[in-house]
Amino acid sequence: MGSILFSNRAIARIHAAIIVVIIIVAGVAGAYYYLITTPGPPPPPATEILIGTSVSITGKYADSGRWHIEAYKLWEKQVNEKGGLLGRTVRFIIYDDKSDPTTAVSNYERLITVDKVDLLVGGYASEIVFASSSVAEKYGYLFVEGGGRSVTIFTRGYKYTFLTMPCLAEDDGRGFIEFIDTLPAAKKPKTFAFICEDTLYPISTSVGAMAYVIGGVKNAWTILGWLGDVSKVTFDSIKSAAQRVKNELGYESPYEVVFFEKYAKGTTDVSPIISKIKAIGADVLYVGGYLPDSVMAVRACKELDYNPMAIFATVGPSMPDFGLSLKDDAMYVWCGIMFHSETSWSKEFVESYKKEWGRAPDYHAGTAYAACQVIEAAVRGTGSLNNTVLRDWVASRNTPEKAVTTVVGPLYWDERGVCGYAGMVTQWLKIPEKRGLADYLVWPLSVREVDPVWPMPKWSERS
Amino acid sequence: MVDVSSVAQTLISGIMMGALYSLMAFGLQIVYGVMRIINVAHAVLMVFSIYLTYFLFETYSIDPFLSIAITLPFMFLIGWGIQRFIVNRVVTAPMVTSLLLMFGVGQVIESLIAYYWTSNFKSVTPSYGATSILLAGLSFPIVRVLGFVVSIVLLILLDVLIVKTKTGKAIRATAQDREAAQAMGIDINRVFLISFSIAIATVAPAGAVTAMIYAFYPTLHYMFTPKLFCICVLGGLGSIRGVFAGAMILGIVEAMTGAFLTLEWAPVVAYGLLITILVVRPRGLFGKA
Repeated sequence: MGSILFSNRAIARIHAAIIVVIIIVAGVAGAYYYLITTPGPPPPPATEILIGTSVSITGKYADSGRWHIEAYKLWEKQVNEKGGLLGRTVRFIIYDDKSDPTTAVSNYERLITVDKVDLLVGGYASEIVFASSSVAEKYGYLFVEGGGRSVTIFTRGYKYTFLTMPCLAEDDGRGFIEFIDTLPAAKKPKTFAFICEDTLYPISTSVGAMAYVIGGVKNAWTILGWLGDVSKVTFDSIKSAAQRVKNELGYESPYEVVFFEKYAKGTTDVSPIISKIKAIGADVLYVGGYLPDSVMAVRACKELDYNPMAIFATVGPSMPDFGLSLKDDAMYVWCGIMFHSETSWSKEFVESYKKEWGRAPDYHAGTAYAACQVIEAAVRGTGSLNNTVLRDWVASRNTPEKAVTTVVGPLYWDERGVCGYAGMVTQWLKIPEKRGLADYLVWPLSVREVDPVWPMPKWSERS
Repeated sequence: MVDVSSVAQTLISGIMMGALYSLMAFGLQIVYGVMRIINVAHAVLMVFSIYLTYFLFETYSIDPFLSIAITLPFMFLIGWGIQRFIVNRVVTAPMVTSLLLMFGVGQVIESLIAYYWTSNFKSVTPSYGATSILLAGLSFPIVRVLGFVVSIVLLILLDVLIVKTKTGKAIRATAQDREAAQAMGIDINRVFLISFSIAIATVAPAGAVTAMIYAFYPTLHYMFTPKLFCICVLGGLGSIRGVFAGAMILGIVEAMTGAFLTLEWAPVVAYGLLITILVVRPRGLFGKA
């Protein structure tokens, strides 16, 4: 009996169609179920560990970038010759950031999201590291870097960024102050004069050193916290800070800052400042600047016959050009350094670097290579490529006993990701039986090559 | 407080610095005065002469002051070549054309210096470099004192050349009125050639002295170029004696600012003085209306 609308034959056809649809749907669903629940062939095993970095190949930081690339490539080669990491070969993916922070950020985004690298290391220059470390932090990637030491990078509460430069700019003078502390009372200097070019790094290093002078090693960073923006620090604010140290921290410094003056970038003669310092008779002259500044200051001291106990200059005396420029007048000048070819940590690296690239590495190459050594130690130490695990391992290296040995020295980190101090101090001396006129390691004692000369002989008494 | 001897020492430093500035600026003034060309490559050529001094010192151990005998004619020839083959083609063009041209020349020379000698710092350090004579408790750095002497000698020579010689008269006539000079039968192209060559030759002693005072590098000229233009305007565009006076003023003002204020203020005071001179006496101290 059929319905009013459909005949029996039509109903039979509809039933048949429904059954066919049910069979098709069931078949597709079954096939789908089979496909998603049955394990497929295993993916090919990973044979490489990819390490991503963005470095300045072009632009204003290209010279420094080249040191980084050479160091990274050397480490890659050496690690692979030793069998790689976790049984896998290591391969760097390097992009050019064109010395531009924005490009660096894009490069790291691409390295993480497109190239899906396993690990990262940083590039060069504080402004670039400042920007690119944000990407690493966002994605939870360990970010060991040897190219940016501006304090602003390490005051954002980041957890994944670690520095392989042994000290911040503010710490450049610390080793020198530590050395002075060891001098017998009769030989100790009492008064310090500071001059620096009016740009960020020279100001940072000078203000940092003044904090060490008035507050000692223990209080220096407290004072830097009080002082705030280093570019606004004046001689008066240093005097106020010295008073505050005495009143609030109960610390009586044996030293006094008696002069602090900045000079405009492009200044062609610092003689007028040196004349003033000579009139004051400061025992120590601290020059914050670069090579031309240190050469200009030392020459002015000689021309004006200003004879302090010591001249300490940043950056310049760490370069061979300092000795080439000043010849014997370079003698007895002090400098705080981050890398030296004559340490037990660096000798092998220096030789292999020379063999590979035909030139001796400078500190850029040293700190970049050290960044690779840190991630290597972390991967070997944890047996993992999980960046959170790796980060925790590096963060746990927080005492000298747990330090990671690198070509720039044994490194360990505070909660900011800044190295526990391992910077060194050199003095230019002329020792024919050693390296002739050169910068010799004098501090700390663990790396001392020769005994330093204190105080420096008067200009008129030099042969 | 600044004591008397400190002020005297600062004055000496300022005078010595002024002498060096004048050595650098004489040529710039000649080219502007005669040809109305702002030679922005002038300080680059001075840097080139520094490297020539360095080359002669390092390779043949020739004393920097003695090397002036070689670098001066060499720079004269360089100036001759630049004028003959490059500048001469734009000498009648608008000033901006020659300015851009000389900017390009400067960039090429700077790049060639960097290519040949690299960007690393270099220095010329003779045995007497950075030594001083002490008189009445005041220091007189030998290199700077000799630079001062060379500056005076060059000032006198240029003055004699321009005032006393026939070539000088032709140069003055061309500087005063190019068309009138031409109408009087003066070969102004020859005047341009001689003036430009002499101007570039004057960077040789400047290079010799600068090489002994600074650690130098290919872009050192950026440190001096603004000051040299300041000196020319201060002294009065076109005046050689004005250059010497302008250079002395700048050197002393910078040094005194360093002594009584800080060197941070030196550019403010120096360029503030420049602005004042331009407002009060636009032709400069020695320029003719």
